[in-house]
Amino acid sequence: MTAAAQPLIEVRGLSKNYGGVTAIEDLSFSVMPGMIKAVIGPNGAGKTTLFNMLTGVDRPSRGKILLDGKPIHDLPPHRRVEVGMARTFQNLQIFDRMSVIENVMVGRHVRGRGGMATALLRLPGARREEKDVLEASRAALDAVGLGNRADDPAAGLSFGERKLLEVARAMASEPRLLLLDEPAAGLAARDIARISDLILRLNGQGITVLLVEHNMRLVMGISGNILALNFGRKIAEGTGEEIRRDRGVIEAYFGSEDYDA
Amino acid sequence: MKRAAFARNRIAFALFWAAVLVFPALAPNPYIVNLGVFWLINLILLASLNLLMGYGGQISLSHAAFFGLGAYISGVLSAKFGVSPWLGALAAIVASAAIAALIALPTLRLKGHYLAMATLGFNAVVSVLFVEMRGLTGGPNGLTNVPSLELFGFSLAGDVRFFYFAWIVTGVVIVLILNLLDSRMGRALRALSTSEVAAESMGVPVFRYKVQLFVLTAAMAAVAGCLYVHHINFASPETFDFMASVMMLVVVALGGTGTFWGPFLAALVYVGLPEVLHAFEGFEVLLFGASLVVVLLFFPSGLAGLLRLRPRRSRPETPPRAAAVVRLSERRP
Repeated sequence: MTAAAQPLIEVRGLSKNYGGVTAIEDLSFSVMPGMIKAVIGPNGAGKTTLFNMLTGVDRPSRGKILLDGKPIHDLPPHRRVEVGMARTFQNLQIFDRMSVIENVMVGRHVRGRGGMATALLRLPGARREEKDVLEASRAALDAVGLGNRADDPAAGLSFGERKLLEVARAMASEPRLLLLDEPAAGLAARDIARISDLILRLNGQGITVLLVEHNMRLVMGISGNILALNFGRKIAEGTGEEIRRDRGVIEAYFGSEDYDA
Repeated sequence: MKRAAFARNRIAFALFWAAVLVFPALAPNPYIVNLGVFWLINLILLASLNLLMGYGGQISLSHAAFFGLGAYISGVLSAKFGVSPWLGALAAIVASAAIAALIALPTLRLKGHYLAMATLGFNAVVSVLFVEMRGLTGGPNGLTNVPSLELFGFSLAGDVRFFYFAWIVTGVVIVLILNLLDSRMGRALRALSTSEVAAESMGVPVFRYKVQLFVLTAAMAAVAGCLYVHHINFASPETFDFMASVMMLVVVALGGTGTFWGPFLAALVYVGLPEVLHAFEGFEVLLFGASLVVVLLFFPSGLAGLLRLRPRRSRPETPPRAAAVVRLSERRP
């Protein structure tokens, strides 16, 4: 494999056991830079477990996760942001006691340096940094179309707006890899179209996207590559067309779902 | 909170603090000035506890213990060993911070209310030490003959002089808190108080920040202890017992947790209400308790929320209008 073809993120032989239950077993796949990759599978397939291991909430029982060829599976979540990963939450984790723009500013945390002493004494370095944080956060908010809500309390946003805020907050760290946990869950068709446009636009700016998603219309519409899981194992991997025709996938997933894409 | 709210708080605080400066001149007698000193000292305690609890979301049941460590370490060093009170105070603040780190490091790594439990035990241990180390602390009779502060041969003893000194120290502490809240770390702290998982996923080193916050607020409580002991030249164990820590928590909630002005009102209640309720001898504890229940039941965002002209209950962090606070300060005895 040449350097140019090195995957941005690579999973090798990943397994996760909870007691005697195997949630993920010997899973390997990779995501090339600039790609949109979706992970699909019926409930209990191991999607959430995989997502948690990618983001650092859970540690793998066995196997490796590599970013740019370097192992990251032992890094705590906050260090993974530093190396270029950012995530959203399926069960939205908005900082409700803060304003919309402040939520995004927290997302930019890793791009700053000021510690407690700098903050307490309000040193000039801290002020310069604040200006940068504010500008970048405004830009991230504008990018998702929430620019006019910047100073509103985050608690006042609608469900769809909160989903967009999650994306803006993740984007504020200028990640190379954006991990989206069911970005379409709970959204009406119009909002799904909005979020799928947003994902495509961010991808167009060079951001690699890995999403876990139930909504087949969204997955088929935007993903260049799909990984299908069932019972913690890979059952298929390929383009939307390949996945759509795969017998294993049809049996495991589409057979039991109302699929109309 | 709107970002501009921090700038507004800064200006409102500067104006308010300038107004506080005339208090000794307006006070009818030294006793009232002395209450003003206690208000300043309690403001440090309650504002730092509010920073820890209201903004950072960490429950400490040993704020009084760090207040006491500040008082006793500085007091013992100067009263028993002849150390300069300034050096004694410095040693007390550093030692309190170090002890806070020792408590925070093992407990804050765990999820859940381990800090509350550990601090509960810690306050009990410290109280016992204050009583039992008689040789140093004077035991249950208290530590006596603690020297007053002197600055370049100028004595800071006496209520009015000490008021101005405490005014400076407390002002500095409040400005530090304002600076911290309006910063990268301050935002991270407010974020982690809502969701540690989300804050960590945004790159916030949650554990390290929680430890730093706990150490900082313990050091601030120790500063209050140093002021206290060198002002009244005495320290008694029950001032710093577990009940005192609980009272501080309750009064911070009463003022309005996570609001900038809450502690100012809380300190006023803490110092002023017992004076007012003195007339109802025997019933003061009952009335104090009842008034707490009433405020917390009907005004979940505390007195700071009560004074707000346009109440918005869902946003407890919105500060009261500055005018309301200034008016209140003018109404003080």
